[in-house]
Amino acid sequence: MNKSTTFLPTLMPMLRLAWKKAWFRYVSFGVVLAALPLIPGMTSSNATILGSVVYFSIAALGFQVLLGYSGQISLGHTAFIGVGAYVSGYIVKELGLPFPLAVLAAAVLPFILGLVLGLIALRLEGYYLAIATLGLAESIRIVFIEAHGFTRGFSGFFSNYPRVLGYQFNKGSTYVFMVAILVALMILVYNFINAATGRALAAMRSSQSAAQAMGVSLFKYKLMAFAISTGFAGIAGAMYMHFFRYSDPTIWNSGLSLNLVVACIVGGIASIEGAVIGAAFVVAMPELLRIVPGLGSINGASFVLSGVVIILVLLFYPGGLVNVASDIGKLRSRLSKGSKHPERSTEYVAE
Amino acid sequence: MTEQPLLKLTNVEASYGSIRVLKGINIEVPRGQIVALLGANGAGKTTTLRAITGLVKVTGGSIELEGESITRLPTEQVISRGVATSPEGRQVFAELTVLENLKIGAFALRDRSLVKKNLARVYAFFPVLKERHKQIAGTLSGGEQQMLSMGRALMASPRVLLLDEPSLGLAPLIVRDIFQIIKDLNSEGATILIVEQNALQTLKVAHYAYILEVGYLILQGTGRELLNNPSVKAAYLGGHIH
Amino acid sequence: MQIFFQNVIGGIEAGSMYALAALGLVLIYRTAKMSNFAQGTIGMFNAYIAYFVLARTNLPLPAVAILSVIVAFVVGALIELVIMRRASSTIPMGKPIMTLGLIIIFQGLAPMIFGPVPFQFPRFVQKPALDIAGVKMLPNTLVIISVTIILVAILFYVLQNTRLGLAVRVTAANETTARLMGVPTRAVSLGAWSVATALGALSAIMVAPLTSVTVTMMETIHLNSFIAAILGGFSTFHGPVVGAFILGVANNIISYYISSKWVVAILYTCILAFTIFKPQGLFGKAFVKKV
Repeated sequence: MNKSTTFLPTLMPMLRLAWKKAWFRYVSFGVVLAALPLIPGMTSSNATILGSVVYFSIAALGFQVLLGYSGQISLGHTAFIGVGAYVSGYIVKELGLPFPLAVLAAAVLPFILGLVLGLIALRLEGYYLAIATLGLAESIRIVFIEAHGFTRGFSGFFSNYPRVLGYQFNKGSTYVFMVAILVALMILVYNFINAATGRALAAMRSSQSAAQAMGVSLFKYKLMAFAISTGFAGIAGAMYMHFFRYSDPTIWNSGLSLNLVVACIVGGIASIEGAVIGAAFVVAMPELLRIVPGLGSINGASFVLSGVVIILVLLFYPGGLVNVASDIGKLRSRLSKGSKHPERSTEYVAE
Repeated sequence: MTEQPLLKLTNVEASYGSIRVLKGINIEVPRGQIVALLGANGAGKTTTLRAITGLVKVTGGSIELEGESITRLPTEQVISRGVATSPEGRQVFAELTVLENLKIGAFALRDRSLVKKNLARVYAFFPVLKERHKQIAGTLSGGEQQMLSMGRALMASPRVLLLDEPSLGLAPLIVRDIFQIIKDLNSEGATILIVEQNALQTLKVAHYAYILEVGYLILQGTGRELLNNPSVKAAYLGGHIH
Repeated sequence: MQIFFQNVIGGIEAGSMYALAALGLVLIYRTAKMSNFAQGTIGMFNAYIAYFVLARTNLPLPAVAILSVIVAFVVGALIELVIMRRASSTIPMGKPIMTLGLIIIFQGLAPMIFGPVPFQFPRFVQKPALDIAGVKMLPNTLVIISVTIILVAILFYVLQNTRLGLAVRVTAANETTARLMGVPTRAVSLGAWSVATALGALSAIMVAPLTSVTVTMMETIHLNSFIAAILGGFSTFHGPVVGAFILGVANNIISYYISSKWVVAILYTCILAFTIFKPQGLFGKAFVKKV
């Protein structure tokens, strides 16, 4: 017998207690995520895919605050990711300033852009934000192409792994760093939506007029949600720039903006975990499809499929993939107990 | 002889999402009568009308129009079978002209000569609508908008007319006019189911009335009976008796 | 001065395409109460189909154009019947997000089916440019502008003067009350989807000869038609059409006299600034959002 038999009984209740705390779950998730590249047989290209998942999760998390919690759509978020990427790259490489400052700037500049655009577009009814962001993205795309001194245009902007206080990151440690940022942001969002702000946003999503009647200042919260989402997009861009060490205008295309919507819906609307699951879905699906015979050779098959999936999810499973585990659990308990104890339905009720 | 009622609700239940709003309502509207449905805000009066017109899903019971079931029929079919509504808050199409509003009221009618006849009848009843037929409906006064809303419903040659809070937000003098119009309409043969908060005025014109409280009917009787009922007096007529 | 008029005519030509597309957007926005973000993409897909029908058969161009508009009409109806109608119990914003799904599907399918190479689409009229007092104008331009004006006139006549048009207008104004008047509002939404998709397809076929048929051919048109609708205001049917022509002409003038590189950024910034002062657009009335 070894020590663990006496150690476990005391540890398990503690773990169960800790698991109830969101930050503990997120940190545990982060530890597992950070350790994934250590799995034997993990190739370098798989590690790159993981990096894609993490950077995209950060952007999706911000987008979730916007779409999931304030019910607004942006169709040009890719531009804010791009701004974050170029700004961080430029600050480190051209200005020679420290990396943390670059990340900060990559968050703040899109945040301010979001505030300014939001101040104008969010006052308007309907889907003006969607159009305004689409228009801004188109304008920013031209900046990416034309502002050669800043972005190098189509020749592409090359950068390096981060360097902080004399420590030079490599691919592995940059990945771990990104995971840490993701976990920190997940905790931040959790606190944000569980504070009064989030409850106001949730009320607003279900009925704007009702929320207004409750005295919620819609505008303020919508603006906050939008600026947070653009700030997160900027951070995601900075991560991208320093993990992939390259950027050009073709990367920041409109398809990427659409993929953010896919991530939040497919993963699970108004869910932090859902954003990460959705990001993994968006990034990993093309890779998984490559294994499927017949489909793998077709270029863009995964893109089409994600379009089909988003419609199917919205029609038949509007809670998203994040509910799969609990729904299977419910199904199992219903099967074992019979229909005596009808489970609470998680379905959305029509407005 | 007991004639078959024109409109008959039997044990009607309806809910919004998981909230049951109507918990088994029985109402009969005999031909040629004014039947009133009274009750406080949120009692389910408007929901009863919406259940009849198919705007709210009926989850139990049945609704019959002259013996034919109209339960769960799509709204446009209920309307084309002769149920017309003047909805709460009048709901005239503010950007359309008075004439266009009246024309849309006859949308379910195919017979053009009948539409013409109805228009002449509505104009005769509400001369002010004829005077202002080219005016944009949003610029009418509240009372005129109520007349337009009722005239619009009459354009459909309805078998039964549903009036939802016709006196809502109108000045007392106008309210008196509106109730006089309701009486006149009835004496010309119209069958009317009226939902109101103004219990006194309504009971004065109604042949029969039901009182609704959070989804249940708690009291019914002729207008006169209810006017003299002490608990009705206390609960609904209190401040109104002059 | 001739150059100025040259630019104005070019602007009206572009504005025609924006106008048709914007009219489609506002039809769906007002009757089905949602934004259709996929209209441009579906138009693009239709242009591909039109190209292949043209290349593989002996049908004349106008016949192919009419055929593809009919196809789009049916596609629009199918989208409403198969997807949107069933989505009544989905999450808030679910329906417009579904149209994003449609964008993804059609954008992904187009290169798979039709290949990555851009196709040259013929003009409706091949004749050389006319010279009117020094201003050159292709007969094709004239066709585009007149077809647009005739179509818009017909649509407005129907909206304003027929029973059908009245049904559309009351559905747009207040759907519940429209239903209480016996208007089959679902059929109105279905019709709006069909007509809007057909308008989007027509817009795509008009632009095809100018840009060639590519996956991205409709992106600018689609975005500009939305912006035209914002400029003119979503609350009327004529506002977006007027907005479209203003946008088309302004685009050309800024491009020629100020900067062709930054025209898009300048134009969008101006319109964004305009909405600060007039959020409801040129002809808009204040929106009253229902619970």
